[in-house]
Amino acid sequence: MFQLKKIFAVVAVASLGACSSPPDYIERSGEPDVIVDTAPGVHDGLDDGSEGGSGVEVLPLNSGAQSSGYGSTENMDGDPMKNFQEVEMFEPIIYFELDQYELTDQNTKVVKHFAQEMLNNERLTVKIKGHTDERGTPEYNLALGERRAKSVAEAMMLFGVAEPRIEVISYGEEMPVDAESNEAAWQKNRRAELEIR
Amino acid sequence: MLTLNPRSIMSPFVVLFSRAKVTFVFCILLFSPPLWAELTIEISEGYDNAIPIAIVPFGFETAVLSVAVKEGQQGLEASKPSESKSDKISSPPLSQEKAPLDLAQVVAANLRRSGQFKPLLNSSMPSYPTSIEQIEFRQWRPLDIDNMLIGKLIDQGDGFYQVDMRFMDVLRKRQVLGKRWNQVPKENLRQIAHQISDLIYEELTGIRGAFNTQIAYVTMRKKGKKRHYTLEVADSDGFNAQAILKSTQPIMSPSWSPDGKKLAYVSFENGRSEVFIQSLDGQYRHKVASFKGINSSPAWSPDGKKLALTLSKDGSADIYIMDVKSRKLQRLTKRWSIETEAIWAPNGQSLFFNSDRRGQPQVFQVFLDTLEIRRVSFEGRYNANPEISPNGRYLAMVHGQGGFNIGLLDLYTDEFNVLTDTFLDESPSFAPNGEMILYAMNRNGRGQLAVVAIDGNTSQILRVKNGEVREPAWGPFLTQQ
Repeated sequence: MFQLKKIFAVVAVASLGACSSPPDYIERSGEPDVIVDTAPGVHDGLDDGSEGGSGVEVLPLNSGAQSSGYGSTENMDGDPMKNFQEVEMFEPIIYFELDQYELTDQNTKVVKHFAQEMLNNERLTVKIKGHTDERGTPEYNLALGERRAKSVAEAMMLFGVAEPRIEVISYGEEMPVDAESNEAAWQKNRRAELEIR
Repeated sequence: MLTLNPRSIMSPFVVLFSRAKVTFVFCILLFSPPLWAELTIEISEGYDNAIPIAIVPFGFETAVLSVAVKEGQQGLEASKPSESKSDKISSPPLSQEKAPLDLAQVVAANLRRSGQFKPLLNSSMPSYPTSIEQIEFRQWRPLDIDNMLIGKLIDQGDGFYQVDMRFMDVLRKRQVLGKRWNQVPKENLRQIAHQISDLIYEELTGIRGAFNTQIAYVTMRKKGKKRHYTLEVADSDGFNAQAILKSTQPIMSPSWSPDGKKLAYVSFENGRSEVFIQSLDGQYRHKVASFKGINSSPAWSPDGKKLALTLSKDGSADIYIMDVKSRKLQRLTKRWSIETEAIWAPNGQSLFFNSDRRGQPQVFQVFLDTLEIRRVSFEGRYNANPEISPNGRYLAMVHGQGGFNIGLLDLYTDEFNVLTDTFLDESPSFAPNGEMILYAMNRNGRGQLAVVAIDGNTSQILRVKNGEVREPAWGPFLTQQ
């Protein structure tokens, strides 16, 4: 059983120059001042720009973004880690066993986390993308991917997210994150991705 | 004869749309490169009792005078390395070098690929007769040659050619078949070679040849981090490949209209699965299914008037029939389970489809008059993507038993056989004469196509350079008979 791990994303807050304090929280959506990569490689090879801001990548802030506007002194000494902030986050991906689409307890926890996030911010909508591994027929897998996405959608609704805020899309086996043909790759590919924006 | 229309009339068009706050450009190109990436063919097995046959290189003449002087290569690619690898011409007749196409080589490659014939190597031929008078029958008897093809290609000027063929019975020293094509454009010579192959195949086996047919398939190439998909159409031997659709989003499930003039397929160009119909001459392209949920698995009815589809607009994936003209829908299945991959029985009165109503995918049949449903596949835990032979006797399917292979169910005897032993086999598609099955498989981590005879006795592999090829569909006969 694949263990969904909480990912500790270390976000570099490049507070070069002025001694402004790091932000209290990392915004996952809205204006992408900081884009957090919780699962490196997930969008590897997939993104052609059509995903909008979802091409996840760890990026430093522009040096001017947190500048207080006066003073240009840079303090480079001291512990560089002092300016790093640890943020605990859930990976917005639900993984499934072969031919399965039911949510495990662990997966339900992940869905609940993101459902809560959506309840906290009424402007957010979610796109749930269902995927399968390459085994089995492409058309059946397209339907299976939809089933996976729908079971996540149903859980979201159980946690109170209104249906109109949820969009379900299946890609079947067409967009693997790992194109290898082995168990490890298949495990990564059987998934539903949450795109909240 | 149906000539292949040049597809250059198609012009590129660009779809612009925006979603959320992001605007982006998405390009679909309907275009006509002179030649797209060739499929390479590899024959892995043949019959033990393949029939020896002589396919003598054709003579080449201009209408005015015969070419007798050897000149330098004219830069015309008469043969591809892939073919010559298995059929080395060690001493071709001098005149061949100026011929726009080595017709005999195309014919020989076709016959060899069928697994049923063993064409004599050119280097083993005692002579290269191009007319009946030049044949010395006694030369060929010791070589076990009972049948031979001879012919001529004559340059009629302005890019047009005359093709003469004579198919000879060496034992009885007489002509079995003789045919002449006049004013053939250069780009159609390969079609003539396929027609000649069909004539010989039918003469010797009694079964209509399917060489003069086309296949459609999807290729995927990675350029940097982007995936590039093309929907391509090629001759049955993998040559003359042309892209009819390019996209950065997945393309799936090409399905030939019975007249061979249109393809229905699934494209994700708008971010999700939708079904399109496109004419091969580039005259039109319509989006026919774009309902909420998945839109997939198009399959033409035998009369070409209807399209079976998988839609999930009313809940889970179910089978629908769309009247192509009116776009009216009829729902065939109503289940919570997945119903998909429908295909029509040749008589148009029932459909076979995949349903996991019993937990795992199995093949079922639904009769259109009563909507009665019966289970068809019982062997093993996973049977999907059914495909029926043109005569309605055999049902090919993806059979999962540990791995995935192509299984063949004889609907007359209920006998079930696994035909293939490659890896991750899927998308079976019958040749229009029912003798071979084209399918997709994975080798060395790449999607490739393979062809297997329905008795499992011969197979071949088709692959593209620098990419994957999948979702093959063998087109119908191009000519009436």
